[in-house]
Order: sequence, then C-alpha cells, then structure tokens
Amino acid sequence: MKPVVADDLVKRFGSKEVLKGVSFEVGESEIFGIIGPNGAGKTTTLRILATILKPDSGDAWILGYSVKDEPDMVRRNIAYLPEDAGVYRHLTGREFLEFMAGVYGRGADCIRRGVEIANLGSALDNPMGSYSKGMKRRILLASILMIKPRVAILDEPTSGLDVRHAVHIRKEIRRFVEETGASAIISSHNMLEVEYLCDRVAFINDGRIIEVGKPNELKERYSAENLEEVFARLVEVG
Amino acid sequence: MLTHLLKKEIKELLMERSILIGAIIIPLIILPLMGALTGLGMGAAISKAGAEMTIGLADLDGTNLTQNALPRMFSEEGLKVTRIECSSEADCLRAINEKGVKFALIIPRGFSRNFTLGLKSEVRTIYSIKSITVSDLTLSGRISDAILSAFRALAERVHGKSINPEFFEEPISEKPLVICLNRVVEAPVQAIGSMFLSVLIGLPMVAVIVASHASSVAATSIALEKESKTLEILLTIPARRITILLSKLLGTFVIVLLSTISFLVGFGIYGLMLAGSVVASAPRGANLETSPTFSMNFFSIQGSPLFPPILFSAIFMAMIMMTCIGLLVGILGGDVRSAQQLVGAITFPLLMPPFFVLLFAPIESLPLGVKAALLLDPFTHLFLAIQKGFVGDIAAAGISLGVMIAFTALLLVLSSFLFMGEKLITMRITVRRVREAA
Repeated sequence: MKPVVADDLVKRFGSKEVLKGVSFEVGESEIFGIIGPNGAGKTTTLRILATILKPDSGDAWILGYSVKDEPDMVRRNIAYLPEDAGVYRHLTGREFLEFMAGVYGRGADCIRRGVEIANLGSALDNPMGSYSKGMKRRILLASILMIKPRVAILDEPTSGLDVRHAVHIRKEIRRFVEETGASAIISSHNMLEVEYLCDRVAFINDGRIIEVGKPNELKERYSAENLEEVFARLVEVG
Repeated sequence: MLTHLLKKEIKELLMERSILIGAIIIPLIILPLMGALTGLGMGAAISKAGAEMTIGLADLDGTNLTQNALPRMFSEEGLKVTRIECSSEADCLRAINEKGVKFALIIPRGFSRNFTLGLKSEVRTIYSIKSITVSDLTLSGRISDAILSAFRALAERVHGKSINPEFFEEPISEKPLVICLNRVVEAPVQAIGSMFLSVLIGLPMVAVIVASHASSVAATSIALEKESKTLEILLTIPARRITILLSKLLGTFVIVLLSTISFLVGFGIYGLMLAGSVVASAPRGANLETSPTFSMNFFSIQGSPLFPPILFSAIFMAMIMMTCIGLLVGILGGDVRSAQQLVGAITFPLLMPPFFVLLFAPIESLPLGVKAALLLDPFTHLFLAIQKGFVGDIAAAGISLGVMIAFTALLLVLSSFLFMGEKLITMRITVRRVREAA
C-alpha cells in the first residue's frame, strides 16, 4: 500500500458539496502536488488528510491508518502546514521549535535540525510576533520538517512570499524528501512552482480531480509549454 | 471624504453580527428585562417594607406620655406599635425575642420626667436583621428615621415654642442594639448595614468580575488560536483533543487564579478601608475603650464559620463555569473580536439580572414566575450561595453549589463534544459565510 491513499473523498459544508469524489495515491520519496484555482477543494482535501475534517464519504489512509477511524495514529506520522498559518507572537522562534520537538517527543538533534532549516540567524531568539511573513513561514516549515514526519502535508507553502524566501522553502522541501525518503503533498495555485517542485501533480477543479500525472508527461500530452496551459485546456475540455 | 469613510465604518461594524447582537440587540432586550425584574424585586421589597413598619414598644416608665402620647407620635410617623410587657431591660430583650418583632425600643424608667425637663434619656433600640437584602436594610433605616422623627414631634408637642434647639435636634440618646446572624451587637444599624452591603454587593461583584474575566480569557485563548491561525497546527500534533482542551482549561485557570488573587487582595484592602470608615462613623459617646461590647462584637460579624469555604467554592465554580462558557464561545466565534462580543452577549444576561434582583429582595419574596426564571439561571446560585452561606444557611448554600457543579459538568461535556469534532474549524467557516451572505 502506498504511504498516502485517498479514495473517493466527498465533503459537504451545509448544502454545498466541496469535494465530489477525490481519489489519488502518493508514493514514497514523492512530492505530490494538488493544484487548482481558489475554492477548488485543495485545502479541504489536505485538511481531511491532516485529520482536521472528516469526509462525509470515502476515506483516506496514511501509512495504512484510516483518517476516519484512526486519526491519532495518523497524527503520529504526519506534519501539517496550513495555508497562512500563524505563529505564537510571544514565543521566540527557538521556543517554538522546542515546543514542537517536545510535543513530538523529539530531542536536541531535532531542534538543531530545525534551527538549520529555518536559518534565521539571531532572529531565532526574537519573539515571532516581530517576524516578517517569510520568516514566519520558514520557522513553521522548519518546525514541521525537523521532526521528520513520514508524510508532510503542506498547504500553499510559499504563498505570498518573496522570491528569496520562496526559493529557500522549496529547496528545504526538496532536501527533506531526498534525505528522509518521506512523502510530501503540496497544494498550490502557483502552477509554475509546482512544476518545478513536484514529481507528480493532480489538477483539481470544482471538487474533482480532473487529471493526474508527471509534469513533463502532462505537458506533452496536452502539447502545452507549462502546467498553466495544461490546466486551461483541461478546463476548456471540461 | 469623511462621509465615505464613516459610511463604510458603520456598515462594516453593523454587518458584524457579533457587534450587532452584543452592542445593539442584547441591550435592547436585556436592559428592559433587567428593569422589569429589578422593578419586581424592588416592588416586593417596598410592599414588604410597608407591611412591616411595626415596632415593639417596651415601656418601663409607664406614664401618660409614654403610654399615650408617644404611641400616637409613632402612628403619625406610619409606625404600628405592638406593646411588649416586661419589667427590666434583660426581661424586655427576652420578650422582644419571643414576640419575634424585627424592631423594638425600650423606654427606660424616668424617661418622661427627663423628657419634660428637656433632658435626654437613653432609649434602647433593637433591630433584628434576618436577611442581607436592601429591603431589610432599607426598612431598618426607615424605621430608625421614623423613630427619631416621632421623638422630635413629641418634644415639640411637650415644649412648644420654648424648645431648646439642641434638645429638638437630638431628643433622645439612642443606644442601638442589632441582632444579626444570631449575634447581639451594640452598634448603629446603619453601620451594620454598611458592613452587610459590602457582603451584599462587594463579594458578588468580585465574583462577577472574576467570572467575567475567566470567560473572556478562555474565549480569547481559543479565538486567538483561530485568528492567528495556529489552531490547525495545534490540532494535528500527536496529542489527544481532550489533552489540548485540558491545557486550555488549566492555562485559563492559572491566569484567572492570578487575577482572582489580585482581586481578593484589592478587595481585602477595600474591606479594611470600609471598616475604618465605619468605626470613624460610630456614634459620639460610643467610646471604643470603654465599650468593649461594641469594639469586640462589631468585628465579630463575619458570617457563618463555613462562609469562607462556601465563598471560595462559589467563586471557584463561577470561574470554572465561565471558563467553559468562554471555551464554547471561543469555539463558536471566528476571531477574538467576535468571541469577546459573543462572550459579553452571553454572560451579561446571565449575570446581571440575578445580581440586581437579589440585591433588592430575598429570592423567597419574589413572585413565583420570576423566582423560577432566576433559579434556572446558574449564576443566581452564585449569589445565593454567597448570601445563604453568609447567614449560615449551609443547606441552601450547598444546594446552590450543587447546581453550579451540575451546570459546570454539563458545560464541560458540551465543550469537549465540540472540541472533539470538526465544529472547532467549521464554525468559523459558518460565521464567515453568514457574514459574507449578509
């Protein structure tokens, strides 16, 4: 069984059906991108995988554990970076890394790794309330990758960041997967970023996966120069 | 420019449901409701006071002045007189107690001779205070004033225009005795009233402030996680939801405990200052050194010995109840501002009506419907526990504490239920959607 399996996920909020049967699989050492426009269902999919939401039907398994029935076991094997996640303003970056290492039962090595990934220099000992958006994202990503989860779930990891911070974060995600053999699921509406970072991508639109494949294969299949063009053609066809 | 900005501000704020409910709709509903309830309480208190303007008169002098003229003066002041037959002050005290009258005075032998000579006589007044409500204290004050007026009128009648102004001003030397909480205290009823008012208003006020603070801290604790978007990370760490909820409860508890300590210290200082001012206002002639009864007994009015544990338990339970309400509001609210508004909108109507109503009248004297409505409010039991605990009605205080514990347990179960599920996240979505729709 692959590390991540989503099978026919359906999710409704009131009368609105946000996910209409989402299925995909993610292999080991694979960075899997879920891309699509705002409101397509990316974040809901990731929240289900992260056990924050429960699917109305269908199920997903992380390392064989059901997100519906065994959320505690799932949480032991994942780390989740929500879109626009904030920070505890009065904790310093180092204190936050120590807190996260503590709740995951990790030691000093983990914190050292976090410090290295964040690469914030002396700012690490400043309260996180004083951090810029890019610095916040770096410390949050560091807190997630340092614990070496078997599956990292990253919702829009570089959204709204300048080039310098975005490049750093992409590099760290890639390094994490290569060094640990873990899986990563990334959502983004930045298709160029996903094309650069992901081994495979799934296009999601209006709660449905409309295409899955490797970036190069998809470009070739749709005679497109980039994934944006692929998506545009898929939507036109739909 | 200002018009456009102002229009935008007003529209934005009014479309915010929490502000609309908390700042506009709730006051429109709750304040009239509070007015009606308080009016009922006051009405009950006033009718009770009117019915109870009866005094016991123990006449040891037995002259025409004390047997006929004085009772007539009392009647003219609206006091009904019940005669008490006795032969000495101790005998009179016993008889007064047996008759169960709330207010009495003992006219000493030789009173009429002194009075006609324009000399002040010492008249013993006895006030029996049964409950700590404004109605009883107001009644005591009114009777005290009416008695003085009756003696002034009698002095005017006896001495005519030749009356000495000083004698008219103070025709008797009142020796007040207050019977409260099964203790006999030689002190003016107004002084005891001030002391009681600190229990009646001060302690519940501390409880209200502490409890409100608890709900606010708890609501902020969760709403801040939502607003700063740290909640989702928190919910995916390998910890049970109940552990996270417990950490929130305990964290809030620690902060509120610190706040409570600071309030109690501040209130203790307030109490000392109040006691100081009461001693300063003791009647002339009441020498603290030569009147050991006054100096010792006055400060011995501290309520039942079980009162301190009951008081602390009541405040503690109120704190936990409000923390749970705060957690619920934090779960329901989308952000800190909404949560703060909501917590006020929910706790204000729960806290204020019982506070004001029970201030004016004992719950027993209220109409059945109002009484039932109040008893359904868990915070009524906070004030009842304090009041009943103070007067030594331990069973009633215990029942009130029991109701508070049951309600707290219910809130804890509800908070846990909501915290376990995805409502914690989706509630915010609902609020946003409604706001967007609006």
